[in-house]
Amino acid sequence: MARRQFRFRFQLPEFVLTVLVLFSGVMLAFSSGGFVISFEKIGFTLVSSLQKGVHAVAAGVGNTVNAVHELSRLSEENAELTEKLKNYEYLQRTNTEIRKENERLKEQLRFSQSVEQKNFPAQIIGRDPDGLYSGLTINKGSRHGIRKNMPVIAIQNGTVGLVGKVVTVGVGTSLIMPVYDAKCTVSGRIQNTRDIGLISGRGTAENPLAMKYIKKRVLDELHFGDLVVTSGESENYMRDIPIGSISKITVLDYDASLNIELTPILDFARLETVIVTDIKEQNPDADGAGGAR
Amino acid sequence: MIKPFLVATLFSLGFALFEAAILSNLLFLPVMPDFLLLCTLYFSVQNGTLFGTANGFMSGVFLDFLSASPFGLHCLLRTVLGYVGGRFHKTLNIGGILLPMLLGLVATLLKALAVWLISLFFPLGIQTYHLISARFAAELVCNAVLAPVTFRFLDMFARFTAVDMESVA
Repeated sequence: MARRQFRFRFQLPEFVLTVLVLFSGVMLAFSSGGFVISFEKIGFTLVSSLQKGVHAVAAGVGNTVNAVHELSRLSEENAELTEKLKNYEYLQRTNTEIRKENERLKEQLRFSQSVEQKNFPAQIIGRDPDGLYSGLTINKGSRHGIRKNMPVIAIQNGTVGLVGKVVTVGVGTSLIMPVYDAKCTVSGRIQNTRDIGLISGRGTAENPLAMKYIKKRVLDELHFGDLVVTSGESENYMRDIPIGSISKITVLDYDASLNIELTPILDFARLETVIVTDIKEQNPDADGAGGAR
Repeated sequence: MIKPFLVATLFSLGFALFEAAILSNLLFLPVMPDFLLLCTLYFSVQNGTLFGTANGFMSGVFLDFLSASPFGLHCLLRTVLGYVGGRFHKTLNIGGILLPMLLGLVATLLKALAVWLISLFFPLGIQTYHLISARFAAELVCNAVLAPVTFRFLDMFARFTAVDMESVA
């Protein structure tokens, strides 16, 4: 009885596989080792520019569809509103809502002007397609003055919070690593006690942030809801930017430090616009920055 | 060979942009379906190891540019997955529903295993999947359910992407 033998022959596909695996491996070795390769920047620029284009087209199509839908909706609403026009209470309520929205927009504008450092408001145009990582793509790049490692903040419902930092800069787009990314580490300070620890992300916006290296002796002084802000010591971020609030404290017998969980100050799921700041330059539009205003 | 490869690469680029610019902004989705993995799987089973390897590499390059992952991770991962998929050329029928679902499921599991293996060789900055987690389970289900749909969609363009039309028929 003839036995079927498995024979492996090294042919063209296997040769191509070896070459590409070697190439990818070398790229990965450079990349994960922190080596900056301009090839990545060029590729990011090209592909993310296309991403920007697709986003623009998708947004355009979406806006058109929404506009048509909105038009028909407005038409119906108009008929209803004509009848309800006499209802002063309804009008007053609508007026209040518009005023609130207006205030929100004004607040963002004022905040951008109030930041001491030079800053670049930007819109989030995409999020990381890979579930393991959590980059945010914004519509500003080196052409607008964005540089690698610039800190990113945002204002949401009147609260300022840290978003993360810029990790890749293309010509017209940039990639932000948010604070909840597993690779992101920020030096933070508990606002009340002034103790310094390291804050790291856990991969997703839903998971709380982890704060380490806070000594057990300060346990009695900590309270749930205490605010944690950037320390500003490493000069990567401005100081006193809120990061999160204490939501859980775990004491481990074998550890000299506390395990603290933080709820991020920002709701990343609802974040649409961010402000990239240049901590090395003063904001020419800043309130009280003589001359510009 | 060149023309089908270019068309397949264009499809990969299209799916990469679709994922990064549109799907990623739909925040109600529990996980992001990996259309690029399904594309690589389809093209590799359809056209063999050489095609699968090259297409896997290209889709990896696109994903590496758009993701915050270390550059090269997806190239390496998807090149290997493309080659493995190509080994089943002329062996598996990618029509129907059940087999594509099974392929999508197994490919997602293989992807998680391959990421873990790569993380052993490149320990700095590579995240691995938690196999026992709701998130990974959701991705498994998502990819398995979307595999027949994606394969059916790509079938419509098989005459542009197939190197050997007999394997399509």
